[in-house]
Amino acid sequence: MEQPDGRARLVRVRQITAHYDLLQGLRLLPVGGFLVAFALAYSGWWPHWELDAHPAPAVAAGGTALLLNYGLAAWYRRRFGTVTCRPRSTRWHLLYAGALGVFALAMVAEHRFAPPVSVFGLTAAALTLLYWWVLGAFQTHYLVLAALLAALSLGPVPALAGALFPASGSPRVTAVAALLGLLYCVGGLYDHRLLVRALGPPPRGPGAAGEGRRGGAGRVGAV
Amino acid sequence: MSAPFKDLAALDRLVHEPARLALLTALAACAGADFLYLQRLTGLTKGNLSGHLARLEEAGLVAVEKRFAGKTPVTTARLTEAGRAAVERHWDALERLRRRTLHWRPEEM
Repeated sequence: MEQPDGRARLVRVRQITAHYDLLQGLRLLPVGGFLVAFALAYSGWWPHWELDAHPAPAVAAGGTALLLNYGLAAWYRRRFGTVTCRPRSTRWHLLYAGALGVFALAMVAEHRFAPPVSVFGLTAAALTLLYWWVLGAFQTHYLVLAALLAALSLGPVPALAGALFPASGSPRVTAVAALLGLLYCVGGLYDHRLLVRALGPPPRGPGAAGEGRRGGAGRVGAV
Repeated sequence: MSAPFKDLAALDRLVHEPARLALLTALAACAGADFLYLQRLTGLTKGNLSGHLARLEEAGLVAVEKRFAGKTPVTTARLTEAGRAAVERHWDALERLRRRTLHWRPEEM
């Protein structure tokens, strides 16, 4: 069996460890699920929760998503261990704040001006691409998801949002929120898969994991 | 151009050993990691991992902290400044070696 490229393996070790907190993909599922459920509440496909008048269900759902997120963080610690990530740079924080600002502006522009293409969706796609690049360009699933989101924002979202989310005061924003929720869910599952494949199976006991393959080298091949 | 093999032989063996290089590379990318994470990352057994960490700690490249979280022992490792410098030097040496071997051709007899 051909040995994996040792250098590439070490680059992956560095990437996975540096972004361990962001690769805990299952933690994105409650957030994604909440966004999709929130959007579907305006679809008219099931009884409208009248969220504007009775926000309690949305608050409860959001709180549940938050609790699930914390619970999954604890699960990751127990199952895969703990990494104290290095503090992210000021440049990172500025970039993050800038991205949030651009995201909010795009949402307002979408609602106010209803442009021929969904600028909110295109902005979300561009920010997904930025996220992929800033993290080191190794999560290729975000490339695909960003492309899909951009494609949907160019035509289907402006065309279909009104019909899909008739109960919403801003159907296009709701449509993009639903797509983002799906992106979080799919992206999160792939992130989790990436982490699981990088970290391998859990240790089975003393002298068990890795010893049969290479003496003292475990899973890691020679550089 | 002289053969790069002398440079290869001159690499720090403490750092260059595959499991230890993986450990040092991972620790260079974070502020610290616990035993479970390092074990899952490298696939080493508990004994092997402990042994490698002990060697690195003895050489001053890694600091190992042991404490209890409730009744559960928790071992955490982090790179020292010397360790961080050693890893950077090693990766620079590997990169120089890689560039040299790309252009090296054996001399004609």
